[in-house]
Amino acid sequence: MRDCANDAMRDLLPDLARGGLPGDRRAAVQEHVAGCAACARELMLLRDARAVLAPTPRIDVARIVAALPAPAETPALRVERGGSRAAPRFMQPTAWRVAAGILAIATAGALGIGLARRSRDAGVPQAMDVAASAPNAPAVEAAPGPVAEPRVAPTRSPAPAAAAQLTLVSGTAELSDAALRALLDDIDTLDAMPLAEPVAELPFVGEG
Amino acid sequence: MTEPARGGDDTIDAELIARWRAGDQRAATLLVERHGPSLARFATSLGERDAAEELVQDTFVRAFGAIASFRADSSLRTWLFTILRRLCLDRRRAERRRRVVGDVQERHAATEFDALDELVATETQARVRRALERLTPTQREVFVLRVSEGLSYREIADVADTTEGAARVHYHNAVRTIKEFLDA
Repeated sequence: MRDCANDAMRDLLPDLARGGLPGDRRAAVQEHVAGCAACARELMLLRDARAVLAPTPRIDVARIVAALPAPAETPALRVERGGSRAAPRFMQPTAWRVAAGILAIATAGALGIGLARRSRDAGVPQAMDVAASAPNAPAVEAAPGPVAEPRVAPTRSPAPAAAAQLTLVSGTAELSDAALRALLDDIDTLDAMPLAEPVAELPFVGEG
Repeated sequence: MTEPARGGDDTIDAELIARWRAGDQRAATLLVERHGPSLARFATSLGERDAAEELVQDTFVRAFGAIASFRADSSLRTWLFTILRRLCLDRRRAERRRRVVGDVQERHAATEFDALDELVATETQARVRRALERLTPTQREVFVLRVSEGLSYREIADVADTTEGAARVHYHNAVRTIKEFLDA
């Protein structure tokens, strides 16, 4: 016998066999089954299967309950009339922690920019500062050579404001030329600087 | 023992969970009574008849231990079935490590229903039982969740870690296999 082509009705047969359909839908499916031999046969099969599967192993409820952990000390789930809802996502602890992290990063960024502007206003010469303070002026590069005097180069950057955002706010950028030179001299005297080049491997010495 | 919970009883489950977390031990008993029998049947259908009670207990212990992570707008019943299924799979894996491969292949899905022989009332049901033995583990799992426990395809997909469409296909393949066996 061919299966019924009405998939919607066939999908509801397990619910009908189980008695799990509300009144109006149950009536509709029963009406269909009354006129459909394939569905009537399938419904009988499902009822037989339920009878076979129905035996339930005995379980000791008291023993299971005794094995349960004690209730946690976390606040109880919020239950509303007409439906159950957990706390909205934005009220969950994880969401607050993420928001606090973002706020902390934003604050640190704002402080950094503020410090950079203050040092620029104080007249510390920096290559990027020159570009930022004169939007239409040519970009400035550090000249090669022993004296790090700024020199004017042909304009290449059409967005000096963007370059200003790259201003260093700590480290060597705030050092004067003399202090920077002294630092470089100190570095030259160190003999434990890491090597950038790979160390040549020792030649393999084979047997014999 | 009460009848297993239906899909529309999620609100009751949420209220019972809240009561248990507030210290009401009776709420835990009600939850076990509501869902324990269904879980035991499902464990049996997965071939774990002898260990059904132990698996049901482990399921509730794990669920209640992690109840803080349970979202009240989801179904406790589906969550419990999911935990139980994972426990059954873990148990099978552990058994496989202990057995030789030949034993595992011989066992397949069939033998666990043998103990039910005496409970089968009619010849037709006996044939249906033999037809159920011929289902693949996945087909039988989906068939049991749909026919015996009344889960929707969406819920079955959550429990069995598959898609709603795949769950539907497994169900209809199971029905076809049973029909073919009965017609043979």
